[in-house]
Amino acid sequence: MTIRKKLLNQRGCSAFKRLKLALIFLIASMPTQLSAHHSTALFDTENPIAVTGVVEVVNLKNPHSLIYIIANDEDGNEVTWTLEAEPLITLRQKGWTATTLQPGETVTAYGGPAINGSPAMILRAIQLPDGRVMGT
Amino acid sequence: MTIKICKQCLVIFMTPLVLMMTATDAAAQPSSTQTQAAAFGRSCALPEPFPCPEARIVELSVEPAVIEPGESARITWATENPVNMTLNPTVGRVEARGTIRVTPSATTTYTLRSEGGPNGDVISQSLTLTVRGTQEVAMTESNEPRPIPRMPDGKPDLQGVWFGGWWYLGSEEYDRGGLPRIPTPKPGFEDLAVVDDPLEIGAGCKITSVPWFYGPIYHFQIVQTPETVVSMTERMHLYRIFQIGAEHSDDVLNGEKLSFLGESVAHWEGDTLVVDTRGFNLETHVGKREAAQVGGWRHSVNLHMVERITRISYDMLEIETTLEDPELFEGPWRIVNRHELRPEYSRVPEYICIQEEEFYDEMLDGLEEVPLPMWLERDPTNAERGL
Repeated sequence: MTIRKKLLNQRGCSAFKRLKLALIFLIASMPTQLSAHHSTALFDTENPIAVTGVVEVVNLKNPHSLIYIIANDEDGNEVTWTLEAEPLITLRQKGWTATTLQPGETVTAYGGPAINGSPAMILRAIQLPDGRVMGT
Repeated sequence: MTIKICKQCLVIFMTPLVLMMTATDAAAQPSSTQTQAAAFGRSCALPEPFPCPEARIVELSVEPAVIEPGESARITWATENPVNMTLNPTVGRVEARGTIRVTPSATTTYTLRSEGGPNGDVISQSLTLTVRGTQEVAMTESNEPRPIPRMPDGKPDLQGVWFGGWWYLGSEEYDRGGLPRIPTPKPGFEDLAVVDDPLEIGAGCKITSVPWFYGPIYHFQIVQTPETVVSMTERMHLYRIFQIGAEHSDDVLNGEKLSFLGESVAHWEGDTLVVDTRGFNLETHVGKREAAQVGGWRHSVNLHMVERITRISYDMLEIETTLEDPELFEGPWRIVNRHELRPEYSRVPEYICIQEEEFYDEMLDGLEEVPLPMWLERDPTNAERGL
């Protein structure tokens, strides 16, 4: 991203980190729901949405898992959504395994969308092709 | 979305935020997911008409199903979305999937129970392990509590894999001596505040806060000898070494030797292991805004932490943590946490951390650079980092 590159060139990595600190600080001042594990200030968790799409990548990891699904927007264009889920350990505690979610499957994701309008959400639950709902 | 703000505006923002942080900490908040679930009036953090994940038992089996007296069998279970799940008798609290070896003296029926089933009901499933030549003994859940195991030297055995759990902030049961649960900066030091940068707190691969060594959502394992107790934390693969009977080194007492985890020395007071830690570097922070996790304050090299670790029952460890930093904060503050034993674990799970900068780049894209408040302008010196 341009902001990051600019800052990295000017002041090194810590400057970018500071920018993020300031930005998160600002957003944290807004009346948003805060996460237990880390800040969810970047997401509107009080007004969740549902997104149905085809799983592209399942990356279960720490400190958070990232799942990518391809959904169609209102104009029928394909959009890749990034779903931020809980860390691997938490998903394991909810019964997830390496095969719970497979690329190519059509799923519906439920969670808070990104405040800045990016096609991303913090995932609260996901409905699998057989109808099962898995928590995250 | 575009945000512009001046330095003065940030200062104006900061004061109410610090007040908000204090007020939020004073309330009991086991986890934000639970808090949000309560806000939605449901058992999950989604409002109607979104579906709530329901607990399901996928598998419960034993192999072999019939054993001779003195032999053992292996119970295996698999569930989805369990809540407060137990496998009884004798095993106790368990996680979603696992296996454990049991050696009952008589035929026993084991029951797997979980909250959070359809309509919020409790779900359960049972199996019977037959021990040849014995009669099944009726087992009730009100059995005598299992004794706290002891080491050969007579000290309580603290060993096992424990769950970090959620922090018990705000519960009067865990209020000790009326001390606050978060620090209060002294006048003139209010600008020590730090905020929850996702790269440093949750999404980053860095040690962040004191005393977050134990969790909250991860496991830790204690290994114990008469001379040394070692606590190994799943998150970040941290290990802390408590030397029994040792004293702090002069370098640490002089503030010349600093590290992320500090230097810990310990002694026994009755059945409680008292761990005294000094020498924290300035890369970490103290005090937390929510569920003892995110946000807080920078501290000085004089931060001092005393943990009193007690195995209060067979399956529960209590850690009472008292911190002080007299130069910057008013009086000591204290946090009490309880951690459940995880009997199915024989070793603390592996944790590999993968940084997520690119993802957060996307989240931050479109937001403009803002001037930084003064308290963010200064980085710790190398000496303060412990270098």
